[in-house]
Amino acid sequence: MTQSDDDAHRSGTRAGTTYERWVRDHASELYRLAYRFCGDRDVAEDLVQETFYEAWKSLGRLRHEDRARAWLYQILRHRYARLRRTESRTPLHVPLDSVEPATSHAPSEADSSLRHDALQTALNGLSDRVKVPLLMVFMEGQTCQEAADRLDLPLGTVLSRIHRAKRRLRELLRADGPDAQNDEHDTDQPGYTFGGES
Amino acid sequence: MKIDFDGELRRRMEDACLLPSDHPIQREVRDEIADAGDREQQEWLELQRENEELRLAFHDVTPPTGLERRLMGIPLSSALHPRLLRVPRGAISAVLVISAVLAVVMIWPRGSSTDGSIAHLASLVARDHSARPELTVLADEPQRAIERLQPSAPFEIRLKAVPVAATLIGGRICNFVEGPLILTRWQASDHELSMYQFRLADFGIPPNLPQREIDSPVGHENKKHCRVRLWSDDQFAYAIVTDVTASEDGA
Repeated sequence: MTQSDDDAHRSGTRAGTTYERWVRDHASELYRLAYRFCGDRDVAEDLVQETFYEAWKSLGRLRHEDRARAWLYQILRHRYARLRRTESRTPLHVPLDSVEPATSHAPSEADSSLRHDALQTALNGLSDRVKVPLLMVFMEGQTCQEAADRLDLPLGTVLSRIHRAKRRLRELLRADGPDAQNDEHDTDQPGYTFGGES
Repeated sequence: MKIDFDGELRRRMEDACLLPSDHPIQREVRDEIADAGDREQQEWLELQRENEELRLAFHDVTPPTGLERRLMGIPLSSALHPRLLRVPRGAISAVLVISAVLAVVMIWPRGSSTDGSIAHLASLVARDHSARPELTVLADEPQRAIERLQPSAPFEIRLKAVPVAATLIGGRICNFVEGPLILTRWQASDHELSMYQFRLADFGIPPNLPQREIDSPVGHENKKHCRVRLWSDDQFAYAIVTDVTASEDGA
Protein backbone atom coordinates (compact mmCIF):
# COMPACT_ATOMS: atom_id res chain seq x y z
CA MET A 1 0.00 0.00 0.00
CA THR A 2 1.41 3.41 -1.00
CA GLN A 3 1.37 6.60 1.08
CA SER A 4 -1.35 8.02 -1.17
CA ASP A 5 -3.36 4.83 -0.66
CA ASP A 6 -2.93 5.24 3.08
CA ASP A 7 -4.12 8.84 2.92
CA ALA A 8 -6.98 7.84 0.70
CA HIS A 9 -8.07 5.14 3.13
CA ARG A 10 -8.30 7.77 5.84
CA SER A 11 -9.84 10.57 3.83
CA GLY A 12 -11.95 8.71 1.29
CA THR A 13 -10.30 10.47 -1.64
CA ARG A 14 -8.90 8.44 -4.49
CA ALA A 15 -7.08 10.66 -6.96
CA GLY A 16 -3.81 9.07 -8.03
CA THR A 17 -4.41 5.99 -5.93
CA THR A 18 -4.26 2.31 -6.64
CA TYR A 19 -8.06 2.32 -6.64
CA GLU A 20 -8.17 4.84 -9.47
CA ARG A 21 -5.73 2.75 -11.49
CA TRP A 22 -7.72 -0.43 -10.87
CA VAL A 23 -10.93 1.20 -12.07
CA ARG A 24 -9.25 2.62 -15.15
CA ASP A 25 -7.50 -0.63 -16.05
CA HIS A 26 -9.97 -3.31 -15.04
CA ALA A 27 -13.53 -1.98 -14.70
CA SER A 28 -14.60 -2.84 -18.25
CA GLU A 29 -13.20 -6.35 -18.29
CA LEU A 30 -14.63 -7.10 -14.84
CA TYR A 31 -18.02 -5.88 -16.00
CA ARG A 32 -17.90 -8.15 -19.05
CA LEU A 33 -17.13 -11.16 -16.89
CA ALA A 34 -19.79 -10.22 -14.34
CA TYR A 35 -22.36 -9.87 -17.10
CA ARG A 36 -21.45 -13.23 -18.60
CA PHE A 37 -21.74 -14.80 -15.15
CA CYS A 38 -25.15 -13.42 -14.23
CA GLY A 39 -26.74 -12.29 -17.51
CA ASP A 40 -28.18 -9.12 -15.99
CA ARG A 41 -26.73 -5.67 -16.54
CA ASP A 42 -27.77 -4.19 -13.22
CA VAL A 43 -26.61 -7.18 -11.22
CA ALA A 44 -23.33 -7.17 -13.16
CA GLU A 45 -22.71 -3.55 -12.20
CA ASP A 46 -23.55 -4.33 -8.58
CA LEU A 47 -21.02 -7.16 -8.63
CA VAL A 48 -18.32 -4.92 -10.08
CA GLN A 49 -18.98 -2.18 -7.52
CA GLU A 50 -18.86 -4.68 -4.69
CA THR A 51 -15.67 -6.17 -6.10
CA PHE A 52 -13.84 -2.83 -6.16
CA TYR A 53 -15.17 -1.92 -2.74
CA GLU A 54 -14.10 -5.25 -1.27
CA ALA A 55 -10.70 -5.02 -2.94
CA TRP A 56 -10.11 -1.52 -1.63
CA LYS A 57 -11.05 -2.53 1.89
CA SER A 58 -8.63 -5.46 1.70
CA LEU A 59 -5.85 -3.65 -0.13
CA GLY A 60 -3.34 -4.49 2.57
CA ARG A 61 -3.74 -8.19 1.78
CA LEU A 62 -2.53 -7.75 -1.81
CA ARG A 63 1.18 -8.46 -1.58
CA HIS A 64 2.09 -7.98 -5.23
CA GLU A 65 0.50 -5.21 -7.27
CA ASP A 66 1.18 -7.14 -10.49
CA ARG A 67 -1.32 -9.73 -9.30
CA ALA A 68 -4.10 -7.17 -8.88
CA ARG A 69 -5.97 -8.31 -11.98
CA ALA A 70 -6.12 -11.95 -10.90
CA TRP A 71 -7.03 -10.84 -7.39
CA LEU A 72 -9.92 -8.67 -8.60
CA TYR A 73 -11.20 -11.54 -10.73
CA GLN A 74 -11.05 -13.82 -7.70
CA ILE A 75 -13.03 -11.36 -5.58
CA LEU A 76 -15.60 -11.05 -8.34
CA ARG A 77 -16.02 -14.83 -8.50
CA HIS A 78 -16.48 -14.95 -4.73
CA ARG A 79 -19.07 -12.18 -4.86
CA TYR A 80 -20.90 -14.02 -7.61
CA ALA A 81 -20.81 -17.29 -5.64
CA ARG A 82 -22.14 -15.47 -2.59
CA LEU A 83 -24.92 -13.93 -4.67
CA ARG A 84 -25.92 -17.35 -6.00
CA ARG A 85 -25.96 -18.81 -2.50
CA THR A 86 -28.17 -15.96 -1.30
CA GLU A 87 -30.51 -16.42 -4.26
CA SER A 88 -30.79 -20.14 -3.63
CA ARG A 89 -31.69 -19.54 0.03
CA THR A 90 -34.29 -16.90 -0.79
CA PRO A 91 -37.60 -18.53 -1.69
CA LEU A 92 -39.37 -16.87 -4.55
CA HIS A 93 -42.91 -15.84 -3.58
CA VAL A 94 -45.04 -14.55 -6.40
CA PRO A 95 -48.64 -13.74 -5.50
CA LEU A 96 -50.86 -15.38 -8.06
CA ASP A 97 -52.91 -12.25 -8.64
CA SER A 98 -49.78 -10.40 -9.71
CA VAL A 99 -49.05 -12.82 -12.52
CA GLU A 100 -50.12 -11.47 -15.88
CA PRO A 101 -50.64 -13.50 -19.01
CA ALA A 102 -47.49 -13.59 -21.08
CA THR A 103 -49.20 -12.00 -24.07
CA SER A 104 -50.07 -8.85 -22.16
CA HIS A 105 -46.51 -8.26 -21.01
CA ALA A 106 -44.70 -5.72 -23.13
CA PRO A 107 -41.02 -6.70 -23.09
CA SER A 108 -38.63 -4.07 -21.84
CA GLU A 109 -35.69 -2.94 -23.88
CA ALA A 110 -33.37 -5.01 -21.68
CA ASP A 111 -35.54 -8.11 -22.16
CA SER A 112 -35.46 -7.60 -25.87
CA SER A 113 -31.73 -7.06 -25.91
CA LEU A 114 -31.19 -10.20 -23.85
CA ARG A 115 -33.35 -12.27 -26.17
CA HIS A 116 -31.19 -11.21 -29.08
CA ASP A 117 -28.08 -12.20 -27.19
CA ALA A 118 -28.25 -15.86 -28.03
CA LEU A 119 -24.89 -16.60 -26.48
CA GLN A 120 -25.85 -15.06 -23.15
CA THR A 121 -29.17 -16.88 -23.14
CA ALA A 122 -27.31 -20.12 -23.74
CA LEU A 123 -24.80 -19.26 -20.99
CA ASN A 124 -27.67 -18.61 -18.59
CA GLY A 125 -28.73 -22.20 -19.21
CA LEU A 126 -25.43 -23.59 -17.91
CA SER A 127 -24.84 -24.58 -14.32
CA ASP A 128 -22.12 -22.73 -12.43
CA ARG A 129 -20.17 -25.98 -12.15
CA VAL A 130 -19.38 -25.83 -15.84
CA LYS A 131 -19.83 -22.11 -16.50
CA VAL A 132 -17.26 -20.88 -13.99
CA PRO A 133 -14.27 -22.89 -15.32
CA LEU A 134 -15.33 -22.07 -18.88
CA LEU A 135 -15.29 -18.32 -18.23
CA MET A 136 -12.11 -18.50 -16.15
CA VAL A 137 -10.31 -19.91 -19.17
CA PHE A 138 -12.06 -18.07 -21.99
CA MET A 139 -12.52 -14.66 -20.37
CA GLU A 140 -9.97 -14.36 -17.58
CA GLY A 141 -7.30 -15.91 -19.76
CA GLN A 142 -6.26 -18.47 -17.18
CA THR A 143 -4.79 -21.74 -18.31
CA CYS A 144 -6.81 -24.85 -17.51
CA GLN A 145 -4.17 -25.80 -14.95
CA GLU A 146 -4.45 -22.42 -13.23
CA ALA A 147 -8.24 -22.72 -13.18
CA ALA A 148 -7.91 -26.23 -11.76
CA ASP A 149 -5.56 -25.00 -9.02
CA ARG A 150 -7.85 -22.10 -8.08
CA LEU A 151 -10.95 -24.28 -8.03
CA ASP A 152 -9.06 -27.03 -6.22
CA LEU A 153 -9.98 -29.55 -8.88
CA PRO A 154 -7.92 -32.00 -10.93
CA LEU A 155 -6.98 -30.77 -14.41
CA GLY A 156 -9.03 -33.59 -15.97
CA THR A 157 -12.16 -32.39 -14.16
CA VAL A 158 -11.73 -28.84 -15.43
CA LEU A 159 -11.21 -30.08 -19.00
CA SER A 160 -14.25 -32.30 -18.69
CA ARG A 161 -16.42 -29.45 -17.36
CA ILE A 162 -15.33 -27.11 -20.14
CA HIS A 163 -16.01 -29.85 -22.67
CA ARG A 164 -19.52 -30.27 -21.23
CA ALA A 165 -20.07 -26.52 -21.17
CA LYS A 166 -19.10 -26.13 -24.83
CA ARG A 167 -21.19 -29.10 -25.89
CA ARG A 168 -24.18 -27.70 -24.00
CA LEU A 169 -23.64 -24.25 -25.51
CA ARG A 170 -23.68 -25.77 -28.99
CA GLU A 171 -26.92 -27.60 -28.19
CA LEU A 172 -28.55 -24.50 -26.74
CA LEU A 173 -27.43 -22.31 -29.63
CA ARG A 174 -28.73 -24.87 -32.12
CA ALA A 175 -32.03 -25.04 -30.26
CA ASP A 176 -32.19 -21.26 -30.34
CA GLY A 177 -32.11 -21.49 -34.12
CA PRO A 178 -31.42 -18.86 -36.72
CA ASP A 179 -34.90 -17.34 -36.44
CA ALA A 180 -34.70 -16.94 -32.68
CA GLN A 181 -31.21 -15.53 -32.91
CA ASN A 182 -32.44 -12.84 -35.30
CA ASP A 183 -29.00 -11.34 -35.79
CA GLU A 184 -28.59 -9.44 -38.99
CA HIS A 185 -24.82 -9.99 -38.89
CA ASP A 186 -25.19 -13.75 -39.05
CA THR A 187 -25.46 -13.83 -42.79
CA ASP A 188 -22.23 -12.00 -43.44
CA GLN A 189 -20.27 -13.12 -40.38
CA PRO A 190 -19.83 -16.83 -40.90
CA GLY A 191 -16.67 -16.77 -38.83
CA TYR A 192 -18.53 -15.81 -35.66
CA THR A 193 -20.77 -18.74 -35.06
CA PHE A 194 -21.31 -18.00 -31.37
CA GLY A 195 -22.71 -14.52 -32.01
CA GLY A 196 -22.20 -11.32 -30.07
CA GLU A 197 -24.00 -9.36 -27.45
CA SER A 198 -25.97 -7.07 -29.67
CA MET B 1 -21.20 -26.79 -36.27
CA LYS B 2 -19.27 -28.77 -38.78
CA ILE B 3 -17.29 -30.78 -36.28
CA ASP B 4 -18.39 -34.28 -35.36
CA PHE B 5 -17.29 -34.63 -31.77
CA ASP B 6 -17.96 -38.32 -31.47
CA GLY B 7 -14.99 -40.54 -30.91
CA GLU B 8 -12.09 -40.75 -28.55
CA LEU B 9 -9.57 -38.82 -30.63
CA ARG B 10 -11.96 -35.93 -31.19
CA ARG B 11 -12.67 -35.67 -27.51
CA ARG B 12 -8.96 -35.64 -26.75
CA MET B 13 -8.43 -33.08 -29.50
CA GLU B 14 -10.96 -30.81 -27.85
CA ASP B 15 -9.25 -31.13 -24.47
CA ALA B 16 -5.78 -30.71 -25.94
CA CYS B 17 -6.86 -27.60 -27.79
CA LEU B 18 -7.49 -25.90 -24.45
CA LEU B 19 -3.98 -26.61 -23.20
CA PRO B 20 -0.81 -24.64 -23.88
CA SER B 21 1.00 -25.66 -27.05
CA ASP B 22 3.95 -27.01 -25.06
CA HIS B 23 1.78 -29.16 -22.80
CA PRO B 24 2.67 -32.88 -23.15
CA ILE B 25 -0.97 -33.84 -23.81
CA GLN B 26 -1.28 -31.35 -26.64
CA ARG B 27 2.04 -32.43 -28.13
CA GLU B 28 0.95 -36.06 -28.01
CA VAL B 29 -2.42 -35.30 -29.64
CA ARG B 30 -0.79 -33.15 -32.32
CA ASP B 31 1.52 -36.05 -33.17
CA GLU B 32 -1.50 -38.34 -33.49
CA ILE B 33 -3.30 -35.83 -35.69
CA ALA B 34 -0.27 -35.53 -37.95
CA ASP B 35 -0.42 -39.29 -38.50
CA ALA B 36 -4.21 -39.43 -38.76
CA GLY B 37 -4.95 -37.50 -41.95
CA ASP B 38 -6.33 -34.34 -43.51
CA ARG B 39 -9.77 -34.59 -41.94
CA GLU B 40 -8.41 -34.68 -38.40
CA GLN B 41 -5.98 -31.85 -39.16
CA GLN B 42 -8.84 -29.79 -40.54
CA GLU B 43 -10.89 -30.49 -37.43
CA TRP B 44 -7.97 -29.47 -35.23
CA LEU B 45 -7.80 -26.11 -36.98
CA GLU B 46 -11.57 -25.81 -36.75
CA LEU B 47 -11.45 -26.41 -33.00
CA GLN B 48 -8.79 -23.73 -32.54
CA ARG B 49 -10.87 -21.33 -34.59
CA GLU B 50 -13.98 -22.15 -32.60
CA ASN B 51 -12.19 -21.46 -29.30
CA GLU B 52 -10.98 -18.13 -30.59
CA GLU B 53 -14.44 -17.19 -31.78
CA LEU B 54 -15.83 -18.12 -28.40
CA ARG B 55 -13.25 -15.94 -26.64
CA LEU B 56 -14.14 -12.98 -28.84
CA ALA B 57 -17.87 -13.57 -28.48
CA PHE B 58 -17.63 -13.74 -24.68
CA HIS B 59 -15.76 -10.44 -24.61
CA ASP B 60 -18.31 -8.76 -26.87
CA VAL B 61 -20.13 -6.98 -24.07
CA THR B 62 -20.40 -3.21 -23.97
CA PRO B 63 -19.97 -1.82 -20.45
CA PRO B 64 -22.61 0.74 -19.48
CA THR B 65 -21.85 4.39 -20.06
CA GLY B 66 -20.47 6.05 -16.97
CA LEU B 67 -19.41 2.84 -15.24
CA GLU B 68 -15.96 4.18 -14.36
CA ARG B 69 -17.41 7.46 -13.14
CA ARG B 70 -19.84 5.65 -10.86
CA LEU B 71 -17.09 3.40 -9.54
CA MET B 72 -14.95 6.44 -8.82
CA GLY B 73 -17.91 7.90 -6.95
CA ILE B 74 -18.08 5.20 -4.30
CA PRO B 75 -17.23 6.85 -0.95
CA LEU B 76 -14.31 4.65 0.02
CA SER B 77 -13.95 5.84 3.59
CA SER B 78 -17.59 5.14 4.34
CA ALA B 79 -18.61 2.00 6.14
CA LEU B 80 -21.71 1.91 3.98
CA HIS B 81 -21.93 -0.77 1.37
CA PRO B 82 -21.86 0.55 -2.22
CA ARG B 83 -25.28 -0.96 -2.91
CA LEU B 84 -26.73 1.29 -0.21
CA LEU B 85 -25.02 4.35 -1.64
CA ARG B 86 -26.24 4.01 -5.18
CA VAL B 87 -27.92 7.06 -6.64
CA PRO B 88 -31.33 5.99 -7.97
CA ARG B 89 -31.08 5.09 -11.64
CA GLY B 90 -34.05 7.34 -12.42
CA ALA B 91 -32.14 10.33 -11.15
CA ILE B 92 -29.09 9.34 -13.18
CA SER B 93 -31.24 9.00 -16.26
CA ALA B 94 -32.77 12.43 -15.72
CA VAL B 95 -29.33 14.00 -15.30
CA LEU B 96 -28.09 12.20 -18.40
CA VAL B 97 -31.04 13.36 -20.50
CA ILE B 98 -30.53 16.97 -19.40
CA SER B 99 -26.78 16.68 -20.04
CA ALA B 100 -27.43 15.21 -23.47
CA VAL B 101 -29.79 18.06 -24.39
CA LEU B 102 -27.24 20.62 -23.21
CA ALA B 103 -24.48 18.81 -25.09
CA VAL B 104 -26.51 18.83 -28.31
CA VAL B 105 -27.24 22.54 -27.89
CA MET B 106 -23.55 23.26 -27.31
CA ILE B 107 -22.22 21.00 -30.03
CA TRP B 108 -24.80 21.82 -32.70
CA PRO B 109 -23.08 24.92 -34.11
CA ARG B 110 -19.83 22.96 -34.34
CA GLY B 111 -21.23 20.17 -36.50
CA SER B 112 -18.97 21.03 -39.38
CA SER B 113 -15.97 20.79 -37.06
CA THR B 114 -16.98 17.21 -36.16
CA ASP B 115 -17.35 16.33 -39.83
CA GLY B 116 -13.90 17.78 -40.41
CA SER B 117 -12.43 15.67 -37.60
CA ILE B 118 -14.02 12.53 -39.03
CA ALA B 119 -12.80 13.27 -42.55
CA HIS B 120 -9.32 13.94 -41.21
CA LEU B 121 -9.34 10.70 -39.24
CA ALA B 122 -10.62 8.71 -42.21
CA SER B 123 -7.80 10.14 -44.31
CA LEU B 124 -5.21 9.23 -41.65
CA VAL B 125 -6.28 5.60 -41.29
CA ALA B 126 -6.77 5.18 -45.05
CA ARG B 127 -3.20 6.35 -45.68
CA ASP B 128 -1.87 4.19 -42.89
CA HIS B 129 -3.74 1.14 -44.22
CA SER B 130 -2.50 1.84 -47.71
CA ALA B 131 1.11 2.13 -46.54
CA ARG B 132 0.87 -1.29 -44.83
CA PRO B 133 3.25 -0.45 -41.95
CA GLU B 134 5.21 -3.34 -40.57
CA LEU B 135 3.38 -5.16 -37.77
CA THR B 136 5.18 -5.39 -34.45
CA VAL B 137 3.14 -8.37 -33.27
CA LEU B 138 2.35 -11.35 -35.44
CA ALA B 139 -0.45 -13.52 -34.09
CA ASP B 140 -3.35 -15.37 -35.61
CA GLU B 141 -5.19 -15.54 -32.30
CA PRO B 142 -6.80 -12.25 -31.20
CA GLN B 143 -6.29 -12.98 -27.52
CA ARG B 144 -2.59 -13.52 -28.09
CA ALA B 145 -2.33 -10.29 -30.07
CA ILE B 146 -4.07 -8.41 -27.26
CA GLU B 147 -1.75 -9.93 -24.65
CA ARG B 148 1.32 -8.84 -26.60
CA LEU B 149 0.11 -5.37 -27.52
CA GLN B 150 -1.56 -4.47 -24.23
CA PRO B 151 1.61 -3.81 -22.19
CA SER B 152 2.58 -1.00 -24.60
CA ALA B 153 -0.93 0.26 -25.23
CA PRO B 154 -2.05 3.49 -23.53
CA PHE B 155 -5.59 2.18 -23.10
CA GLU B 156 -7.46 -1.08 -22.86
CA ILE B 157 -7.52 -2.96 -26.14
CA ARG B 158 -11.01 -4.14 -27.04
CA LEU B 159 -10.98 -5.98 -30.33
CA LYS B 160 -14.18 -6.11 -32.33
CA ALA B 161 -15.25 -8.86 -34.68
CA VAL B 162 -14.59 -7.97 -38.30
CA PRO B 163 -17.67 -8.09 -40.54
CA VAL B 164 -16.31 -10.78 -42.86
CA ALA B 165 -14.66 -14.16 -42.32
CA ALA B 166 -11.03 -13.22 -41.85
CA THR B 167 -7.90 -14.43 -40.12
CA LEU B 168 -5.86 -12.17 -37.91
CA ILE B 169 -2.34 -11.44 -39.16
CA GLY B 170 -1.10 -9.27 -36.30
CA GLY B 171 -1.06 -5.76 -34.96
CA ARG B 172 0.88 -2.70 -33.90
CA ILE B 173 0.43 0.51 -31.97
CA CYS B 174 0.37 3.55 -34.25
CA ASN B 175 1.35 6.86 -32.71
CA PHE B 176 -0.14 9.72 -34.68
CA VAL B 177 0.24 13.35 -33.66
CA GLU B 178 -3.40 13.36 -32.59
CA GLY B 179 -3.09 10.26 -30.43
CA PRO B 180 -2.38 6.54 -30.37
CA LEU B 181 -4.33 3.89 -32.31
CA ILE B 182 -4.31 0.13 -32.05
CA LEU B 183 -4.04 -1.45 -35.47
CA THR B 184 -4.92 -5.06 -36.21
CA ARG B 185 -4.60 -6.39 -39.74
CA TRP B 186 -6.80 -9.20 -41.01
CA GLN B 187 -6.62 -11.44 -44.06
CA ALA B 188 -9.98 -12.06 -45.71
CA SER B 189 -10.37 -14.43 -48.66
CA ASP B 190 -9.05 -12.05 -51.31
CA HIS B 191 -8.02 -8.89 -49.51
CA GLU B 192 -6.53 -7.46 -46.35
CA LEU B 193 -8.36 -5.18 -44.01
CA SER B 194 -7.18 -3.04 -41.13
CA MET B 195 -9.04 -2.32 -37.94
CA TYR B 196 -8.12 0.66 -35.77
CA GLN B 197 -9.20 1.34 -32.21
CA PHE B 198 -8.69 4.80 -30.72
CA ARG B 199 -10.03 7.14 -28.08
CA LEU B 200 -12.78 9.47 -29.23
CA ALA B 201 -11.36 12.35 -27.23
CA ASP B 202 -7.95 12.18 -28.94
CA PHE B 203 -9.50 12.83 -32.33
CA GLY B 204 -12.16 15.31 -31.31
CA ILE B 205 -15.00 12.96 -32.17
CA PRO B 206 -18.17 13.17 -30.10
CA PRO B 207 -19.54 10.05 -28.39
CA ASN B 208 -22.31 7.91 -29.89
CA LEU B 209 -21.04 8.34 -33.41
CA PRO B 210 -23.48 6.54 -35.71
CA GLN B 211 -21.84 4.07 -38.06
CA ARG B 212 -20.83 5.67 -41.32
CA GLU B 213 -18.75 4.83 -44.37
CA ILE B 214 -16.37 7.21 -46.03
CA ASP B 215 -14.39 6.72 -49.23
CA SER B 216 -11.05 8.36 -48.73
CA PRO B 217 -8.59 9.00 -51.57
CA VAL B 218 -4.99 7.89 -51.08
CA GLY B 219 -1.83 7.49 -53.11
CA HIS B 220 -0.33 9.40 -56.00
CA GLU B 221 -2.78 11.99 -57.36
CA ASN B 222 -5.42 10.39 -55.13
CA LYS B 223 -6.14 7.75 -57.75
CA LYS B 224 -6.71 5.01 -55.19
CA HIS B 225 -9.50 4.93 -52.65
CA CYS B 226 -9.98 3.21 -49.33
CA ARG B 227 -13.34 2.58 -47.74
CA VAL B 228 -13.44 3.50 -44.07
CA ARG B 229 -16.25 2.27 -41.85
CA LEU B 230 -16.40 4.22 -38.58
CA TRP B 231 -18.41 3.77 -35.43
CA SER B 232 -18.04 4.39 -31.71
CA ASP B 233 -18.48 2.25 -28.65
CA ASP B 234 -18.20 3.73 -25.19
CA GLN B 235 -15.17 6.05 -25.12
CA PHE B 236 -13.59 4.41 -28.15
CA ALA B 237 -14.14 4.54 -31.87
CA TYR B 238 -13.27 1.92 -34.44
CA ALA B 239 -12.39 2.15 -38.10
CA ILE B 240 -12.28 -0.73 -40.54
CA VAL B 241 -10.37 0.10 -43.70
CA THR B 242 -10.41 -1.83 -46.96
CA ASP B 243 -9.11 -1.08 -50.41
CA VAL B 244 -11.77 -0.10 -52.91
CA THR B 245 -11.34 -2.29 -55.96
CA ALA B 246 -11.74 -0.93 -59.48
CA SER B 247 -15.09 -2.69 -59.93
CA GLU B 248 -16.48 -1.29 -56.68
CA ASP B 249 -15.13 2.10 -57.59
CA GLY B 250 -16.98 2.11 -60.86
CA ALA B 251 -20.20 0.82 -59.34
